[in-house]
Amino acid sequence: MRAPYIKNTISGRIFDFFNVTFMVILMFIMLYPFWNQLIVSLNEGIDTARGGLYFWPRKFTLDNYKYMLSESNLGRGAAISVLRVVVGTTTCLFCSGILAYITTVRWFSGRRFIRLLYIITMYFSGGMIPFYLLIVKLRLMDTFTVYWLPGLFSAYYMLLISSYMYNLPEALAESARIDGASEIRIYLQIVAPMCLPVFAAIAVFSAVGHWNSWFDVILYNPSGKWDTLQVYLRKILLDVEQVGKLVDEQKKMEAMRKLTPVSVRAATTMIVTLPIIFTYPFFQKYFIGGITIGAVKE
Amino acid sequence: MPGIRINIRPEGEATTKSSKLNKLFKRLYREKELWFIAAFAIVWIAIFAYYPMYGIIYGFFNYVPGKKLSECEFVGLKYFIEFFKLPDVWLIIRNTLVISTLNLTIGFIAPIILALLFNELNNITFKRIVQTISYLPHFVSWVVVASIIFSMLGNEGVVNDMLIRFGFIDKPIGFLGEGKYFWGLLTAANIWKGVGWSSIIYVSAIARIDQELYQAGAVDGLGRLGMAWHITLPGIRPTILLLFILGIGGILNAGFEQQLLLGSPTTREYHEVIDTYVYRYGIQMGRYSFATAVGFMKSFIGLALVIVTNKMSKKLTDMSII
Amino acid sequence: MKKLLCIFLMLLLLATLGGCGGNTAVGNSSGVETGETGDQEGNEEEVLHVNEFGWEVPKETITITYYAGYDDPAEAEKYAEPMAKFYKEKFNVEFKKIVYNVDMVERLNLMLASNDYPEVITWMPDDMAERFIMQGKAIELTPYLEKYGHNITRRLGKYLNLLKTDDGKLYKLPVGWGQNPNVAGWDFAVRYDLWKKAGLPIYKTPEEYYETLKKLMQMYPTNANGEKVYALSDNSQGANLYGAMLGAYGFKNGFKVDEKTGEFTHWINTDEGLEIARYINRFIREGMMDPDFLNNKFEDWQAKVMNERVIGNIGTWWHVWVAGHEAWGQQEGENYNIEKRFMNVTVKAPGVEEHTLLGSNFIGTSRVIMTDKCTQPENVMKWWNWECSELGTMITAFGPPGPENVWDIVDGKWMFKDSTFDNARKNEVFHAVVEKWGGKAYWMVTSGGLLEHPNIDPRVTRVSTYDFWPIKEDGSFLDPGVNICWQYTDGKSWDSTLFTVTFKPDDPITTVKQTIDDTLPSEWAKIIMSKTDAELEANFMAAREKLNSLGLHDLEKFYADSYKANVEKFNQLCN
Repeated sequence: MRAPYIKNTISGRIFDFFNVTFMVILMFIMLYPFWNQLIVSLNEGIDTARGGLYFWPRKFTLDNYKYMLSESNLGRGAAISVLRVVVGTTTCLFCSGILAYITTVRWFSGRRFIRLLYIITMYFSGGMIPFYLLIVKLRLMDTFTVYWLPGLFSAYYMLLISSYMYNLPEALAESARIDGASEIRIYLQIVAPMCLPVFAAIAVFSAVGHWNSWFDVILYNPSGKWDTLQVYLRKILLDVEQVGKLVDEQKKMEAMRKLTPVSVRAATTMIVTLPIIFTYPFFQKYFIGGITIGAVKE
Repeated sequence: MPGIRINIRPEGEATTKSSKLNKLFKRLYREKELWFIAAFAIVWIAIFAYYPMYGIIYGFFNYVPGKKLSECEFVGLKYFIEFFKLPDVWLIIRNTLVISTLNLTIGFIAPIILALLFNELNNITFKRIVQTISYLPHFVSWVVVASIIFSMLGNEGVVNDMLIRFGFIDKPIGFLGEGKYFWGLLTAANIWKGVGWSSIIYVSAIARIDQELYQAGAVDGLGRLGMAWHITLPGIRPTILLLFILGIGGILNAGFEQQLLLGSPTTREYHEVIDTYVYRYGIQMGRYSFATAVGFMKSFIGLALVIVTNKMSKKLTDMSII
Repeated sequence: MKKLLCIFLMLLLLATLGGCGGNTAVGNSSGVETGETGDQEGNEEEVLHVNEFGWEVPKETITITYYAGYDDPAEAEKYAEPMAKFYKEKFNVEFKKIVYNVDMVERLNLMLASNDYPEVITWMPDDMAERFIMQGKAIELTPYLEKYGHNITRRLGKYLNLLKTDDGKLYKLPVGWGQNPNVAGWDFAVRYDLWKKAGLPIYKTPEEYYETLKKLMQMYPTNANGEKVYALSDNSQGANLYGAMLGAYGFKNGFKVDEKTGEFTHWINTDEGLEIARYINRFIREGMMDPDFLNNKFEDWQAKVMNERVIGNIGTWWHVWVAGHEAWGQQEGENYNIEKRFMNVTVKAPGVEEHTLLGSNFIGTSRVIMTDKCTQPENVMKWWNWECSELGTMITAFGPPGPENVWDIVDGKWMFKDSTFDNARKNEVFHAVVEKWGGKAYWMVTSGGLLEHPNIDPRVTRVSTYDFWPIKEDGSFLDPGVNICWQYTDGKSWDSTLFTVTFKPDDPITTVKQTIDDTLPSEWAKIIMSKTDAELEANFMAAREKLNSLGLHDLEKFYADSYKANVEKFNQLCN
């Protein structure tokens, strides 16, 4: 619904028409790759190998899903994934948010220092081997902790949140400070509520990131004890990649024969991606409506 | 934003030193709560980011995993020089810069425009559905995206089929096989995959804009275009600038997977970028030091560009990310 | 509110500590467990008996821990269960096989860096084995080999010399070695049913192959759905096209080798190379090549083959098997006509004495080492030796013998079950059954190639760790389909072992090789996509010049020198 103070002109209506038309086309284009995976996953495996599937399954079947659901330990993986997303996102959001907050407090002398300290890490890293050795040294191998602790503070999220906090009226925070409120209280009760939209956006980023990440899972969880849902998909996709690397023709043939069929791969993609897609609609309510901060502007 | 420099080691004459120190302690005491929080962030980043950075040194040694650094030969800038001596090095630098520039211009503006258009949608349900759908391609792997692109744009793909049927051309266009189409193809694919995802942050930034500003704008007789231009866009300017500055720092990262999947031998002169090159000459050949050296060089240039751009931004717009 | 912060931070700290402390098995999780079995040496004399498979069953269980590369840990363990049970019961041997879903080279580097690796590592690439050896992290095998390794020395013979260091020490063994058991390698395939219906003569040269495809394409311009049919397509970005052609021209690993002078010439520097380019170019210019041939991935290409849009194939034999009759058989079930398949044909360029379509690298590319963490080299070597016995190889490959499995020991003969002879259902009746029994689950060192022994079922031929082929008494294949595929394939292989070249990571020649490998495909694509003869020749010469300027001549020399060194090494110390 349009805010009442905006006039409805003819050119506005023409624009609306084109805008909606554009959005409908956009929806089609954006939905297509996903739709394609969906119909491939609903098509019979052997038939899929013939290619040429565009809009509808040729030989409809649910076997690919049945196969996936019966073959692997998806339930446990899903539970771990959810746990990872919840723990990872809340801790990261809280920590990166408070970090962003202290770097926007204008009279804080460590502000630039901390920002710089974090920005540098966006560009420089020691590479895989030192980080792996660190994880081993901290005894984080095969633990759940390895999922959220190394991602606790994020320089990128810090910058995004603070760019949002930039120009927020300071009057409220200052008056609270004079009343003797602690910084953490100011952050939680005054600043954070005004930043809900950006927190929602970061939550989507972080949740999707946690859900989708797989490299740390296979590298730091060699026992497979904490395998997430995404890993099941990745393993299948990695198998495909691995075949390409084989030198020995005999092994290659063997591997190619055993390769997971395209349809099962698509079914796995659907099973693994569908749950996380709903995070966005879930957080969307914080994007709409906007907030009125005029009240504190004096 | 007036930045306050902190003095870790205040220098000066002995007499003023104590008073300066005193001031400093007073100040630190006043800021104790903030420093308490900061301490956690600093300890954390020291452990998880700065401590492993010793790995950068490997770029200056002939490092072999498993050997102690003291057993490895110090080679100085050997690998940096080697990089510039690679055949076609200028070609890959060109490709990297061109592809990045396309991503930083067209690819950068697209999500902003999309977010602005989302903002103009009246029906909230429709708006939410479109937004959600627009970010779906982010979840589809490059392998799948590439195979869809192939089946669409191949010599017998839907696009050529249509073009021939409607008489625009009489011979299929080799979209995939000809180098000259590659940059465009890649940029389009990048946008397709990322535009919805990248627009999220702008959508959230738009939500921050004070509704009173729009009311005031309406009073001043601003139309919808005027409001978008004079209110919405300036409202999300900090976010735009931030992402642009960070993007400039990533100019040497022009993508990797998409090049490998969409490229073919005939497009090599257009698709080869620094990352694909380093992957083969460093990681695949087991030359860890070479990969580290090039990575370091990229980081160095990236950070330098960020600092320079940030300075310029500060001068021009009074906005700074540091 | 301060309290809140404190509580939160405390929790954070606790969670971190808890996460750390809760995991006491860090070291072991990566599988390094060598202490337990260290005292095996003393028990050597107390061996109880030799079991029916020729293994001296030890009194105390031997446990061997080894890393075997890329695989899914959970699945691998489940897969190996029947085999583990069998070895425990009958052999008193246990294995801890470690696999990861991480690229092996990456993981090996991490193992080196963290000094955390098991006692045996197998299926590793040669250069990674070298890396362990150079750092003194591999055990010299000669003493153990001399004492316990008679099967290994017997079956590998002089090839062992190639694995020795320059001072004659042996640290690594090959795995998956042996003579190539295949009938076909590179080949020129054609759709047999179409070819037969057309009544065309068999082709023996590239030219005749071209003629055959041309005629077939004219006769079958479209498939049943009206889609255009092509003579050829490809899924290797064009590499298979020259690969097979070079085989027809008798090139060795891409080089023309002058045996007398010992000179190696890369094909781009030969006239034959130009001829090959012209040959392929003709297919493209005349519209006989799928226009998307440079972009197809295996699965795109397979779709075209399955939809009967491709008549021939210049490449490796199994591609058209997997995408051709195996897929059709599965898809069409009862209605499948066995003549609908590709026939693999040996083709030789005129004037060429021996083709090199079927290469056989005896020592392969994978290696196995014992690391310095190994405290029981005698036990490991004994096991390796048993695994390398012919019976050991059979068991490793196909699982425990028995009436339920695909093979059994009957009157001392190693007989395959009759039911496994149905080639059309081989995946189901053979491969799937072997998998059920955990075949190849614990494959550490033995051969992958041709296995020969008097006890092997006389009704089959070309037995290898992967496969076997039932034959009739006259020596032809039992399966009519296989006979169709291979009736015009001569099955002659050439020994490519001595042509193996090792590239060391920091040797400048390695960079040269990589540059050539990078440049060649795009130059090759440019050449064969030429529009006229003159353009083709110009492009070819330009490519030649470019590659030579990148150091191709150095590479030629390096190959020649390596070959010479290999020959010397191979012949040394032979008694």
